[in-house]
Amino acid sequence: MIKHIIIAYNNAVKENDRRFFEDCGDEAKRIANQLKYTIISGEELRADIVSERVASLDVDYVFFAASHGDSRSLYNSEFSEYVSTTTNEYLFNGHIIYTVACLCGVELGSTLVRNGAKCFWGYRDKYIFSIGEPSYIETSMEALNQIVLGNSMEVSFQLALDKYDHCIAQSYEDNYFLTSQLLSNKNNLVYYESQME
Amino acid sequence: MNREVIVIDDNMDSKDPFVRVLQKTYPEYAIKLFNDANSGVQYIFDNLTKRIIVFLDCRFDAGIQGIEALNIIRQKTSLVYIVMMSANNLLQQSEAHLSEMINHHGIYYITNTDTDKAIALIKEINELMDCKLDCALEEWMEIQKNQNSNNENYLNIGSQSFSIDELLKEIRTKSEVGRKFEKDLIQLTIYLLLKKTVSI
Repeated sequence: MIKHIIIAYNNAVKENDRRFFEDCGDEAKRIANQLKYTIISGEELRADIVSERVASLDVDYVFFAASHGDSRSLYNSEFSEYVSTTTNEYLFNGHIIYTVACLCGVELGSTLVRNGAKCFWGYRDKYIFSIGEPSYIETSMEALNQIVLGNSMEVSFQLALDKYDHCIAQSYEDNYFLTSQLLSNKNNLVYYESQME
Repeated sequence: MNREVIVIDDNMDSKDPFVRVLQKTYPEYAIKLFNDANSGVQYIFDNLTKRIIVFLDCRFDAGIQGIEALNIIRQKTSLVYIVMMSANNLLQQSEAHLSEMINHHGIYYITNTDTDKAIALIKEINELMDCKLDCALEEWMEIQKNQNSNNENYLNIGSQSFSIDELLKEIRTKSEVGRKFEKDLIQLTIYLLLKKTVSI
């Protein structure tokens, strides 16, 4: 049972995309609702702070991250990795990592799960968004919402895909182009679950 | 959508049979004539939003040659169709020129007296432009640009931000990003076609 969410997002002043990441962070706070949550944002978004906050928790938690990423890491505005396949891949033993970031589903996710994480969520290609279009936030955060509600990873994944379908149906007549990018995100959403349970 | 035929040839004037026949056959097209390649290229760049078919002579007595003009146009857009013209048949072109022409997208070749072929090509290219996704996407982007006050930072792909103008450039140059947009639009169309019910 999830008791806590660590909400990590990049809203550093120098970050061009801070508004989108902040919107994701705000939505994560809303989803956390009755749960406790910890914020890691701005200049605090560093590997040492992540380690410190994770170590302080002895309950089931989700580590949520909205920032830039690549196939092997999540990184901050200084291009400094705060989660990666080579520095702190063992950190999330038994817990869920949920990312809204580019490419982390390629290698970071499977590496974290191999190193003990319960589950990893992310995208296996570049994550696309349009600032001010709420459907991008809604779709990217749906699975987190379902996990917090107590659904299994498999069910949460299906409900996330359903949310994408719903938003695509709502928006394709208004903006076919931006909707095509939503579909691209849908097709790149992945989760890796540990088989250890 | 404005449709124009641009003829770039230093040996033609507005009374030339080639120009007159095109104008008579396609009165819905504005026919523009340029006697030097630089002016023709500049006109194309200033009018990228129009549907343009270019008839470009290979050889000019002064200024840049036809192949150079072709390369300059292709650096900026792949969506303009270009018909290369020459007094010589194709086999008399140099190997280097042939290679340049073959390696570009949307290039045709006629001898500059073959008005029948020119007329047929305009019809064929126009039909192609009507059903080509990249042309449609370009037109749609232009409409968005005029309607959308938030032209800057229209879409983010990872850490890369694109204004509508920048997206248009990606589409016109058929870059990796531009080709991705085309692919994504086709995938959405297929997705909507195959979905039995679309519910909100």
